[in-house]
Formats: sequence, C-alpha cells, structure tokens
Amino acid sequence: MSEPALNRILHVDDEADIREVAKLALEDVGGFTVESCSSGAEAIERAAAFGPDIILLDVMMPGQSGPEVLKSLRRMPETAETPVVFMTAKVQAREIEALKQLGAIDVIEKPFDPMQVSELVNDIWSRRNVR
Amino acid sequence: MFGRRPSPAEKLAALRASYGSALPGKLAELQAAAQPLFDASPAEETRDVLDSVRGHAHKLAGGAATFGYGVVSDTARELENVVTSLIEQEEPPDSASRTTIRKLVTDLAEAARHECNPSEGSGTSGSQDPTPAPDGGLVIVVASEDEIGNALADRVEASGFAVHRLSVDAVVPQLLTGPEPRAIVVHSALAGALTAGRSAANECRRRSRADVPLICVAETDEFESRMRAVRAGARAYVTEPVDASSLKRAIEDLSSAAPFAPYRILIVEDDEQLAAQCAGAFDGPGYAVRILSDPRELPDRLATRDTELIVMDMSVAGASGLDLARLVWQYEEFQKIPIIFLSPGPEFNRQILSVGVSDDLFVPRPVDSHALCTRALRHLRSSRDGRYPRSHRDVVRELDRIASLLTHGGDNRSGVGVQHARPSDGRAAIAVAPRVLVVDDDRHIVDAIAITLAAHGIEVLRAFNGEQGYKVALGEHPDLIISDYAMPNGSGDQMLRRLKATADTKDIPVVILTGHTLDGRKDYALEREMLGRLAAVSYLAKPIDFAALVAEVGRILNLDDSASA
Repeated sequence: MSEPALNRILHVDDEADIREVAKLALEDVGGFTVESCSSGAEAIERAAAFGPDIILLDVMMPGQSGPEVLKSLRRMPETAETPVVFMTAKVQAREIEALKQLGAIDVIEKPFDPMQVSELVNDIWSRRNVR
Repeated sequence: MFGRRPSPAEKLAALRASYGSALPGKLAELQAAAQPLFDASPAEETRDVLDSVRGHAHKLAGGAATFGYGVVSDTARELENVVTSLIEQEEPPDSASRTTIRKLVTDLAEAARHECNPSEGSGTSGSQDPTPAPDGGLVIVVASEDEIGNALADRVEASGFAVHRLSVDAVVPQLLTGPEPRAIVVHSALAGALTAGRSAANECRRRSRADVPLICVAETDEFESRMRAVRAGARAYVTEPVDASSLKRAIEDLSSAAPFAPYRILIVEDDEQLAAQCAGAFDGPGYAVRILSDPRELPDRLATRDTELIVMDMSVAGASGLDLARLVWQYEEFQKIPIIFLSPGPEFNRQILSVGVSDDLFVPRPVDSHALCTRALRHLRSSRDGRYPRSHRDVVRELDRIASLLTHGGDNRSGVGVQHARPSDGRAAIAVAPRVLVVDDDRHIVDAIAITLAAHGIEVLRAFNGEQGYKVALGEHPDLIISDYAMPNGSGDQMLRRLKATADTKDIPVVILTGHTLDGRKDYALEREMLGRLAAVSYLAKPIDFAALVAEVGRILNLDDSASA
C-alpha cells in the first residue's frame, strides 16, 4: 500500500505575520491546504472539523502554550493520533528533546526559510513512522 | 485586462516589507512592556513584566529572522536570553540587569531604524549569477530586464566593474549570495528598487561585510524623488543621463578601493565539537576562523598578527580562560584584541552581572550561535573603528573581580551568597582556599560542579578524562578529586589505580561519581568495589544531588558548615 500523501496542514501561531508567511510558503510553494489558527483555543475548536494530516504548533503563545494545546489535542479522539510538529526559536538540543518527550514528532526551528519549509514538513511527514 | 499573478518570491518580498512597516509598532509594544522595569516604583509584579518582555522579545527574534531582519532578530534574541536568565534566577533584576535590558531595548530600536524599509511595491524580473569580479570589484545592480535596466547594467560594466544583476524580488536576504559588492546601484524608475537596494545593503551589513553604499540613478531631479532616495538610505543620487565615467567616480568615491577583509577570529578550544560549533557560527557571515586546541601555542599564534578577536573557553584543559586572557594582555601589542569567553552557563553570567560586571564578553554555554556571532560582531566593529566599549585596564579589572568571585565568592557588597572555607576546629579562615579537581568527560557537569563549589569558596581544577585528571593531580596536588567513573580516554577506575600507585598522589581522597545505579538507587556491589579495591573515599550516584555533593566535600575536607551550607 502506498504511503498517504501529506495534504492538509493546521498551522497555529499567535503572530499574524508568521501565519501569513507560513501560509504563503506552505500553500504557494508546497501546494498544501492550510488552515491557520491564531491561538490554541481556536486550533482546538477547529481541528476536528478541518481534519489535518499534520499540525504545526508554535510553542510560546499567550493563553494556552503549544505544549498545553498538544495535551488538549491528544485528549480529542479526532486528533489523538495526528502528528504534531512544534515550531520554536528555542532550539537547544535539550529543549528539542523535551518537546519531543511531550509527544511532538519533530521540531522546526524558527526562523524557517519560507522557500524551504514545505520540503522540510514533507520530509518530517515521510519520516513520521520511522522513529 | 488581467495582471500577472505574483510569484511566491514576490509575495514574500511584499510580506517582508509589510513586516518591516509593522516593526516600529512591535518595538513600541516591547518598550511599553519593559517600561515598569525602569520606573522608580514599578506598579506591576516584576515577574509578570519579565514574562511579558520575554514573550515580546521571543516573538521578535523569530519573526524578524523569518523576514530577514537579522540585526533586529539577533538583538531580540539576546534580550530574550538576558530576561530568561533573570526569570530562572527568581530574583528581581538588579540595576546592572536593568541597564542591560534598557540598552538592548535601545539597540533594538536602533537596529530597526537601520533595517526597517518604507513599504513600496515590487517589480519583476529574473536574476543571474554574479560574473567573476574584475579589478574594479563587484557591483550589484537592481534592475528590471528592460531597456532601462539593460542600459544601467551596461554602463556599470563599462565603468570597469563586474555586475551582479538582481531583480527586485531576488533581493530577499536568503537569496542574496555571492562575493562582497563595492556598491549597490538601483534605478528609481523600477518600482520597489530602492527598497530592494536598501535590503541588499542591510543584508551586507548584517553579514558584517561592510557598509556597502547604495547609489540611486533617477530620471529626474525632483525634491520628492531625492527624498525617497534619502529615506531608503541612498548615499548618492545621480540624474540621467549618466555616463560610465560618472558612475565609476560615484562608486569609487563612495566605496573603499580596498576590498573588505573578512574578520579574523581565533577560537581557543580543546573540545573539537564545541570548537566546530563556534566556527560554524561564523560561517554565514564569512569570517576567517582558525581553531587552536593547545592554549600554550597562543602567544606564538598571536605573533603572526592575523587575529582580530579571540573566542576562548573559560575552562580549556589545564588552563583557566581568565588567566590566559591576562597572559595575552600582558603583551602590549595584543591589548587591543578583544576576547569573548565561553562561560559555563547563564548562571555564571547572572553571577557576574550581580557583582556589577557587564557580561558582554561572556557567551554562556551551551552556545547560541546567534548570540556568539552578534556579540563578536559588536566587538569586531568597535575594534576596527578604533572605538572600545571599555578600556583594556577596565576589562582586566573586571576579570580580576570575576576571578575573585570564582575563588573567594566576591566581596560582600555584591550580596552573592558565598563564604570562605573554614576549618572545623574553629581556627581562623584558611589563607588558601581548598582545591578540588573535578574530572568528567561531560563539560556541563564539570562546570556545574565548579560553579557550585566555587560558590562555597573552593577553588576548582578541571580535567575532562582520566589521563588529564592524573596529570593535573600529579602537577597540582589538589586536596580532593571528584571523578566520573566511566569516561573515554582513561576511565575513572584506571585513573584511580594510577593515582593510588603514585607516591605523590596516593593520599589524595577521591570521590567517584557514577551513573551506574540500580533503578536510581546505589549499587552497593559497585560501591564496595570502589571503596574497596579502588580505594575511593566516597561514591555518589548521578544525577548529582549538589547539596549532598557539597556536604560530602565539606565532610572530607573537614570544612565547617559555613563553607558547605
């Protein structure tokens, strides 16, 4: 059976500029369908209906932080198994490890290169079961 | 009529310009968040203020870097690191920390002023790779693939310069590659060219190459047109018709004839991995980096006069970074060379800030490449310009204070909680602090133990494998050795056997640290082996309980509670 292709991405970041550039990068360059959310609460509310293949989650957000949102998503049957990738400017090895311990399959470093990030997400998607 | 659909790169350039326009607002929010720290009677809880400042700085660091505002991002990241360190220490920031924060907030505003672009539209056309530079050097020409663009590129080429032609949308920082240009020439008739030219100049500056002048060629000599060029940072405004010789004069007048020489950095580090990481931090900006693993070769290497800045670990095997710095600066001819120290961690930076010493020469480990690069750049620029933030004498005085902090816990004015070691029989404080050799292949563990013991008035020697440990013990005769059990290049038990077989070292007590435990509890069989066959005096399990370690050291060295409390 062939590997399912990555298509739908839920991106969560409280910064409008970052949401905009990520949407541009993932849709225009990567050809994905992207749903952008500005907060953890919004992501939790919309995740089930949108049905993402993968969720890109900012770590430091007002209200619920990325790790808190991940916990909530894991409690929802629709997103309990959805791969989550954290996006953060804090990329010390121990912090990456700590974020993975929380259940993220990978961590994307900010700043990301808008022309490359789609390829990176695709790469993470294709490696998601080899961990 | 339908317009052409913008490409991703064009959209990206537009988003970048939009982010640039929004930067002043974001900075104003950060300044407002930080203001209570500078008020005489802050109305808000300090922790809340610090959290808020950290949040703003974090977002700025990530966002600005994504959109290519490198200096803003680097400065914001440095601010975030400083504030994070304050939050972790769980104490209100002192005046030195507040000064540092205020300075970084000011630096941010300055960086944004340099990098922020007025929003303009964007044009289109392709880009091509730079041709090899002839003697005249390379000039970036931002121009469209049309008659005006072609004519401009031809005239620059005819002036004796190699041309690297870029379209407006190619001046996204990630796409700006190639050798250092002497100048950037734009034609104002192309929409977005001034903005793109300014972006290119900023990017060159961000990469520490030099202030590359921006030259605007325009059709008319109108006030508004000139003002737009001034706002974009253009150094020269040339009105058409422009011939090749006029362009040549403008470029040569504004740029140095000598090509910009990359900064030359010497990294003194015996840990290959850490040295490579530090060298990697300077890869992007294209600095010339050399690594020196043996600190004894430092004076000879400096004698070749090709070092502008030294990055030095505070704990190179067999030497202290502070002592090495003093040694370097004993030579009058090297006193102008700034040294960036790799400090043991944020806790160390916090400690020196708390005794009123600036931490602008200390980058904490694990090393953040951006922080290292930014800090180094600041000193390199000052050094080349002949401007020094502090006099050499002041820096040496600061190092003396830090050395005093490390060995004796600093003076009482600092309020840092350290006491001098005392013998338990009530005699006067011992004149020389007890010396403990710490041996572990994990530098973070060595540094963590060193900081902990130094805070209790104990001098610490360091080694990173059993072989080094044996040599340091033989040469320095420490009062106690704390050693890891399993290490590459000479494990703890081999070192212990050699120490016990050597007359000069056989009586030095040894505490063994080991990760070999049974479900986190002591492995009593292993303990018997260590205390029996290996003749260690004590055995502590990892992860280290630092309070227990300090108590054990105090017990073995017969120090009273004031030293080990």
